[in-house]
Amino acid sequence: MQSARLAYLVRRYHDKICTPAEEAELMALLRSEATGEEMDALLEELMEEHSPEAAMDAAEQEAAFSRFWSKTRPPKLRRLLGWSAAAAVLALAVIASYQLFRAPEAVKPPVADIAPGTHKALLTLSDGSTIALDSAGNQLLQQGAATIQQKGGLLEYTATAENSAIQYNTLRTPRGGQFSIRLPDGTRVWLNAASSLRYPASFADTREVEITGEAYFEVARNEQAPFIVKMPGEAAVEVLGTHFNISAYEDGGDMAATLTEGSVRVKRPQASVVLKVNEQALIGKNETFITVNKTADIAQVLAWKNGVFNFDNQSFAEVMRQLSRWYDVDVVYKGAVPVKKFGGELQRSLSLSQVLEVMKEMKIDVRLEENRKLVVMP
Amino acid sequence: MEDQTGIDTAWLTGLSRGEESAFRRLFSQYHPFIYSFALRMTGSDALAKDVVQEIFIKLWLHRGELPGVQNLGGYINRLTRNHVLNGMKRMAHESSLLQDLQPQLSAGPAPTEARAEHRDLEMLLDEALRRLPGQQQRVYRMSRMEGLKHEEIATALGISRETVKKHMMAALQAIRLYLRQHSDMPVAALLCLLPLFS
Repeated sequence: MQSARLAYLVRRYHDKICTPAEEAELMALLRSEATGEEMDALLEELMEEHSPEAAMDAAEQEAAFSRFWSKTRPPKLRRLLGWSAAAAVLALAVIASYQLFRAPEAVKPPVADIAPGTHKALLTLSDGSTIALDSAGNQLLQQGAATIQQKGGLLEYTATAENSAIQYNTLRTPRGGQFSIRLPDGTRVWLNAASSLRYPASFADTREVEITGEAYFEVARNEQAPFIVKMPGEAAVEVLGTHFNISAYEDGGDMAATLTEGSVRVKRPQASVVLKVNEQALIGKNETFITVNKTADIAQVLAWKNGVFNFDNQSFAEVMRQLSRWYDVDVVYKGAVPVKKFGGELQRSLSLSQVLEVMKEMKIDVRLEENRKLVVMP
Repeated sequence: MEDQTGIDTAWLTGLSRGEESAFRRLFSQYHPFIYSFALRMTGSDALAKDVVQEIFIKLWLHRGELPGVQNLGGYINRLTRNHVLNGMKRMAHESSLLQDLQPQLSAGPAPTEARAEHRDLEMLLDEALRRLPGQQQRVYRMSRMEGLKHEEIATALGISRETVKKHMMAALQAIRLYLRQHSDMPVAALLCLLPLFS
């Protein structure tokens, strides 16, 4: 009897549908019960069902490997490392005392505030040459059969002749930058920070572009030439003419395509779905299928384009990733990543220190340090 | 995890010699899954990291035996089960320690409140289940409400064990997504943010 109840509770715990009372009951059972073979079989089944969701990003994974690897090193080497660490501490102490005695006024200056992102991007032409774009620029360029006009934060392509060889250009935003572009067919694309769009300077029969990071598309209708957006991991969105947002950051969670107008087909090698308005396709990195979210939070998806952060229901790590991209800072966790959900909206026009001020209100200790480091205290 | 493709003798030899590149490969192949599963079952990032660390240390200590292991994935699965179970027990003990330290919190919600919460959750879950395709729903109900094993479900429905597993994965993912969207957890956080910048 007892073990059937345990199995029931463990399953519910795995599915994340335990009530607090059930969770307390499970804890008590785990403490008291000699869990034997049954528990082993149960875990085996749960492992089979489990699809990884909370993947670490590359940096965290690397840190985890280093932690493991350092434990496997022979003690001799570790002693050596110990010595060099001691030497480093000593050196620091010497420098510190020197500073202390030499310059009483040398109190560590407060780290300067960081301004929000602006319109900036890097345009790479088909010959490999690059042009830095910022909001002040207004320039006219020629690229094969296309004329390129920059008007502040917008780049406009006009096809002037047809049937020339296709030349690919790439528009790339850095962290702390965003930009928008009008392609030769009239399609508008808004690029969020740390993103890129590769596209032909003039379109032929098919319209095909590639994206990394995040972008919002307003595709000009053309029944004869479908518009295809390729994403990392051989995923793609195929449309005739609609409005949609794609989020495909390598360091983020699931890739997502969200439809705000018309209809689109979302594909990956082993799956394909057609989205209706306000639906979102989630393309998990560790799975082959596509999950359709019928009640996507459109306001949240489009928040970035409308100049706000929308943190409703976002994980701590996701919030920090967004700040990292918009303020061009590196996030450093002093302890574990806090398990905390957020809510609310913030203007993207705030300076970083203003954002941190708000976080302080939420009892989150995040400090801006030198070299654009955002340090999350445990 | 049970996929055995890509296990070659050169790799196993590299592991037995303790080569960094071989362990890196082991890490990148198994770490994401183990960490994710341990995180789910212990509910704690720190515990999950400990579990992962212990497993890889164990693999390191037994590296000499790895070339002789018939089924590396199965071997790692067994290690994972053992260590995750230990992690869960540790979680249970830590939770009781926490309750001792904070007696005022351990009282929990009043019984009626808890019952209401329970009803809400069951209703949400029921709604999430209704939205699943038929076969997924059936598999989920058999597993979670009747407590049947994968094997038993497969026999009852005349489908393969593998298919049962796939249905369960899809069902769990859909249910989690639905619950995430319909639970009202972050409301408090929202309230504390809005007055500042509205």
